[in-house]
Amino acid sequence: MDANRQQVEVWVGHMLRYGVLLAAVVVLAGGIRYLHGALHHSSSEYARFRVMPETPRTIPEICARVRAGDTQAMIQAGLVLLILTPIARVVLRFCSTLVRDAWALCLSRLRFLN
Amino acid sequence: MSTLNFTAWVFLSSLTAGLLGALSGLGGCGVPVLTIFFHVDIRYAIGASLISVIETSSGAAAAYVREGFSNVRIGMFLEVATTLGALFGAWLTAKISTPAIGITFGVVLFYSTYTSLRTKRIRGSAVPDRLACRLELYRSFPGESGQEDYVARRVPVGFGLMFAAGALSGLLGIGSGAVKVLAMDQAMELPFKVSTTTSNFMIGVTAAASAGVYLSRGYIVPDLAMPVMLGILVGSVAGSRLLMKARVRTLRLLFSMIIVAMGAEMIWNSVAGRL
Repeated sequence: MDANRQQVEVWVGHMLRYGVLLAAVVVLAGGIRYLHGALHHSSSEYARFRVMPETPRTIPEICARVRAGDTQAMIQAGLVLLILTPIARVVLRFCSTLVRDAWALCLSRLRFLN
Repeated sequence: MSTLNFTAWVFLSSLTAGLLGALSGLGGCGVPVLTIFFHVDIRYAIGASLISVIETSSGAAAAYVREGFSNVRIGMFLEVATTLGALFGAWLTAKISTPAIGITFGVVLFYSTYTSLRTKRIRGSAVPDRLACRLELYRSFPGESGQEDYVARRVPVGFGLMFAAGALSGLLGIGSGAVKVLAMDQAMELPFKVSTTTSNFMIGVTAAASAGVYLSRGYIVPDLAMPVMLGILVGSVAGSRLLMKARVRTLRLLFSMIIVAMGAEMIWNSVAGRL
């Protein structure tokens, strides 16, 4: 692996770690607020699957409910950040390959013109 | 059970699972713990488990890339198959019955435990195929005697197996690292270290694809996923710190026995209609 590519991989690796950390911080903050509000409530029933209306399921819905101060939506926002982390890695890697190939093409054209 | 008690118990069991997973290198026990001990519907358990799979895979990826073992090019190529498989598996979850998922889970747990304990490798005599050369699926890695070159073989078989690995990941909420390693190590004949690290590198993307589908269907519930995510994070970080001091072989054997017992329990519960 050449040095540049190795460097990109190291950056991507760091991005993955920071993505996980950021997601964990958001989930923890939402979790603390959620538990504070539901301290003496009995836990939800998960023995049989049913679609729960209180669970936000799309990104616009999550954003809207976070703005409204919904603690469950805040946890969900952290989970979405976590899901997006490996996807961002693929996008970054793809972009870095495109830039590298475009740069190599430019250099080869310049040499040809000279 | 109160919300606080439920959250605390799920957090503690996820912490233990994360700790043992990091120490032994074995995973996949998140779903059985939630279904057997907390009587959570398997679909919710799979949703929460997918979150922990993304987390552990992404957290460890930085270290693997730095070591220079993982082949990102092969990983990205095979991710096409695993992602398609994961979407198929996540779609399948809504179509097949809960006991069928439970039985499949138990069988996969047996298989992954067997492969993790096996050290002997069976090698064929396949030649490097033209497709691998055209796709540039070759490189070198830091072996015992300096840089060692390798080239992928049987690319279509590996690609097909990766689709199956992705489908299992989407269906069961696991990383299905065992099947990914089978595809790369046995079918494509890549060096073992390259297979395991590249597999770990790919697991996060596969799980993210299925997690997206699970989230949109309402299978990922925040109050269950929250203690699982935080517990696994604390457990796996602590586990990787303790790794140097632990007697890994004994732990691995012990944890394998626990996983086999949980696999058997899941199959039994599925057959008895208790899942």
